[in-house]
Amino acid sequence: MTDAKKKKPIPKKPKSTALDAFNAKDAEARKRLAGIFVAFVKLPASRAKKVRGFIFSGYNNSEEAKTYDGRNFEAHIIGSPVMQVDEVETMLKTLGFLWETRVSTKDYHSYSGRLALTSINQATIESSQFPRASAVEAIFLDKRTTNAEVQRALYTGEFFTAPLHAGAPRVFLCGCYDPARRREVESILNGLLRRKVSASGLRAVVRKLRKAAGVRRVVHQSVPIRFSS
Amino acid sequence: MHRDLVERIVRMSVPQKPEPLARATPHGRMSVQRHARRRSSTTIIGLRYADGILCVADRKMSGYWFRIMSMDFQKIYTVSPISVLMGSGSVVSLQQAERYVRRTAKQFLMQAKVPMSTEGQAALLAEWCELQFMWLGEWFSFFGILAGFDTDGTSHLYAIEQDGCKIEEAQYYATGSGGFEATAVLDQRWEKDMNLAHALHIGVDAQYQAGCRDSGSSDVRLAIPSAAAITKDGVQPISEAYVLQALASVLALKPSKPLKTALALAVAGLS
Repeated sequence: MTDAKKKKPIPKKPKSTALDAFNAKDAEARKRLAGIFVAFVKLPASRAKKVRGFIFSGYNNSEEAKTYDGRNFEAHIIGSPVMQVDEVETMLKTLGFLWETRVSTKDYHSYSGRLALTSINQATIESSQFPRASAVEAIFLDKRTTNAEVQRALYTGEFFTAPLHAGAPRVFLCGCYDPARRREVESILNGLLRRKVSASGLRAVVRKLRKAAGVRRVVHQSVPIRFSS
Repeated sequence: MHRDLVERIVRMSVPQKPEPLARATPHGRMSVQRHARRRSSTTIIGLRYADGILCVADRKMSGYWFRIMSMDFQKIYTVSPISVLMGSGSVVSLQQAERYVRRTAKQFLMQAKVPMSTEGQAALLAEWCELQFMWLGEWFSFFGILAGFDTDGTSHLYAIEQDGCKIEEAQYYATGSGGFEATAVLDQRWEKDMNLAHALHIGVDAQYQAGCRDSGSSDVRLAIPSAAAITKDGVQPISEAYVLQALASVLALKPSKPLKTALALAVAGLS
């Protein structure tokens, strides 16, 4: 046999590591959350006469934004696909039911809901048992009279908290991981902090957000001041 | 998303039922004679007043048939920043109940940054009692009062019994072996929107009556009752000196033996 006829050994592909799997799931989740978003705009105290702020949720036709409204907190959930968002909403309802029947209606606080969501997100993205990350994010708004907080639960399992009744006005944004879209969405929402908002102004903001984020639907709702102390 | 993961996380988030203790067996660890166990056949009282709830308890612990084991036993436990638990019955049951509620309430406070509501504590304690009673039967003996002032500005007074029943009382409640005598006094003397001094006077009077007629409760002349007030500022133990003032005012109204003798002498002297 001549040398030319000798088969060259095929180079073996390097085995995929846990880190590669994590990166792949992270990239996929970011892609799924590229445009859709949920944002809470906390208004300045001087202008918060009737409303504490606004919630904006942006999503496409195949997606849906859900809201869990309990006695102590409300959660605004966004994600893709709809099935995962539904599961998170069902889980929050189940948790609420269990807390209310086993303990009391007063004791289902936002920390329990946030803990459950972040645990699921962290487990699905970090464990090799799960092929896909859970691309669901939520903003939890406390209705408690003391220590009320805004909590953001991200798809990585991270969470961020900020006081609701104190501190500077600001925008809390979940989702919208496409950098260009995020920049535009943030600039539009930051614009709300600087001027008074009328009903027509809100409609204009919704139109701008739809265009900037590249989503079909943007819904907004005001967060009333009813849960101030 | 996997169903088992969701279920695991749901189980992790909600307080779970406690593990039951060893079942009572005729030849096992629990087969000591019932009267040999330490008991606080006691009188515990919770009554509402203008600013919150006042708790009064006697100090006697009995055991080993009819011996008095202690006259300095504390039956008022602060289980959370907003609530207290008082108990009568078996001392071990009382201390286990206190540990369970305190641990659960502390864990909740660490996570949620707000204290668990009194209703929640009472629900968990009632469930715990039901389980213990189911497993231990007559060896589990607990009659308790849980009182608290919630962060939403409402006060709650719960009567909890060993079979797992939980009753919210609107005015006052007294239980233990001297509970009937104390309730008779409270029925006659309790008023709405009393101040603390008046409420303490009534509470000590009820303890006095219970101590006179019930062998399981301490006589207030031998052991000063312990007291605590629960207001919107939290749990505040009442000092012995303040309780002593109330005790003196109660004893001044009672026809005690020395007083009778003195009166007889006075009458004899006059005549």
